Amino acid sequence: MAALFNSLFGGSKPSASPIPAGDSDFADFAGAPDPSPTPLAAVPTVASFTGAGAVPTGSSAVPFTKWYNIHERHSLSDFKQEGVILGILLVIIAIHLYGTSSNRKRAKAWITAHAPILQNEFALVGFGGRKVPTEEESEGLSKTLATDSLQLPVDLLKEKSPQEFSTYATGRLNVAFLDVNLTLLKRYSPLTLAFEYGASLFFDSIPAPVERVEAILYPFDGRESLTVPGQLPGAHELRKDNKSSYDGFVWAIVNKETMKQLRGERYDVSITSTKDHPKLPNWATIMSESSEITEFLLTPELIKAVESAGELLDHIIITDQPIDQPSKLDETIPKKRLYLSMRLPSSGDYTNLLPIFQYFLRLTDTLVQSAHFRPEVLRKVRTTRDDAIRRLQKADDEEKAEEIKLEREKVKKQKRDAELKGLNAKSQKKYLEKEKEKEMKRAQKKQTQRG
Amino acid sequence: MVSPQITNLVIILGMMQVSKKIPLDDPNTLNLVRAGYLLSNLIIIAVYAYTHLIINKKKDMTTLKYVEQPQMGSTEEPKPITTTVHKYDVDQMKSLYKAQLMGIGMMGVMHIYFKYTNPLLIQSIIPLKSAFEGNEVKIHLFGKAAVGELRRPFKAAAGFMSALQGGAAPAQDKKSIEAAEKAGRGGSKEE
Repeated sequence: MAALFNSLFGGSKPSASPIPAGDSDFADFAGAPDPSPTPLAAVPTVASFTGAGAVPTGSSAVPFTKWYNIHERHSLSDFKQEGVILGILLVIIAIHLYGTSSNRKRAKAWITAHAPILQNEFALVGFGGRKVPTEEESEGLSKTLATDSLQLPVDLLKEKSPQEFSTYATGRLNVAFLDVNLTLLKRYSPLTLAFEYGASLFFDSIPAPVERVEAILYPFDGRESLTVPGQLPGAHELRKDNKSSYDGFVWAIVNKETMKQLRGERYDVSITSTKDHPKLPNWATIMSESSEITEFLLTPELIKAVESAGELLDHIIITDQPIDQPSKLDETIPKKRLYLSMRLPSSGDYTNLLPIFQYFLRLTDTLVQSAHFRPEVLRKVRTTRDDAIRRLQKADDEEKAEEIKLEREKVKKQKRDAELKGLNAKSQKKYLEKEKEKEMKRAQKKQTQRG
Repeated sequence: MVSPQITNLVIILGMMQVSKKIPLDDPNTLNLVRAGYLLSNLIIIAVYAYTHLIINKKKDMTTLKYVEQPQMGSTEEPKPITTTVHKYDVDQMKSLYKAQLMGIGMMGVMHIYFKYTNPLLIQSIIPLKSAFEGNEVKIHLFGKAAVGELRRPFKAAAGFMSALQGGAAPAQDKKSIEAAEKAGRGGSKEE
């Protein structure tokens, strides 16, 4: 390392110092002749950069030191280290560029496949702001997507990091907004990738890196008026018919490979019970709170979509419960969301995944229309939530009782101190003795009681 | 059939006597023993890999539910596990690989760092034997039916420490599964 620094910062051993070591005065310096450039003739005709053979310049009257002549002090072989470093750097940069560009290509392929569906369903897709959709424009969009440039359609897909892309959509009946996140492999950093794979083999808690797309859909659930400001056109109509609410429950189709992990990680699915369904392919299972809900939600269309997606589907979850176990009461307030998680096919062919994505986007319509169950079904669902709330309430109450107790003791002590302060020395002593006696009596009483 | 623990003990005692006779100071013999150890580990890996292959080929997606009982003395509630036979088998195989790697690592330290040679002999026989006695290998390689002792989830082998560690066998009756399943244990931030 030291050698490296030496060579990096121009060598700490000048072959000849222009100023003699003892530079206590300027006499030596003044005595020296001007370091005027050597006559042209004395300079070697070809500046041999590698040349070790310095042309003797002693013949000229000008004292010539090596200090001025860089090609005599250094040769190319001095820079081996730098060469190696530069080479490695180039390789790293090349890998990085290749990795990021291939990730971008994959993300683009995804949005190209899914943008038409999103644009059919939502008024606003991506981050470009609202535009009036015209026939021409949507055509133009597909044209820009069709070109083979690496340029991401920035309006549609945002690159959060070289391996994370996200898009956003809003403006649809019954849906507040939709978040889609693409997670790709760290192609730009093969070492990290290899390390992650290795770690996933040894530790169960570290999942193997996979490419997946996760979509979270937030339904309005009857609260359109909160999202749409009052002055906007259409707000009035929204307020009029607040019918986009549906019953809260947790229901999921889960790939069996991930179900153990999922139940451990997510609170909402861990309050359901897992049951295989004969109509589903054998790699998938249902997590539901009630069989009636399952019968209602498991439409033939959905089964077909699940079958076409195949084992790339991780899960599709309809939930109203938090992901993390609630630890406070206000965390139990139901927030309805829909989750879809799929692994990306390595081939980049998304035709099989489109049906489930479309079904997922339209699922809220079905829910709003008819996810209103009989009270018997809902009672079962509600019991689980009430139990959780009660548990938290109890813990909360206990905490409060503790607080009150502490407060009371504090007040008591304050009172005693105040009393003690007001007395003179003699009565203070008396007071303390009395207190001691009282305490002793109490202790004695306790002891006798115990005995 | 004698329990594997007893046969293991017999082999250990026997091999300790045998290893006294073998001139391990002789570099040629030593290399032979080393080669034997490597060969034994290669066989184990091959057996495991083949079993893993069979498991993946079968891909039995039958749902497997059981309740993992907490360790004795811990206040944790029983933990419901929902998985598939395939996933369970793969997890078991993973733990077998891990155990083998650990064994090789330990042996490497003992042999290379501390220069012990005696364990090489025993360590090339015992793991090989237990590899063939493993539940997964029995089921998939030897085609034994997964009933009785081989019923998943496997019971922990009754060993020296198991009585101390406690941990009842995983429960599989319907009642305890249902009770534990709806408890909503997921997503808690424990660590």
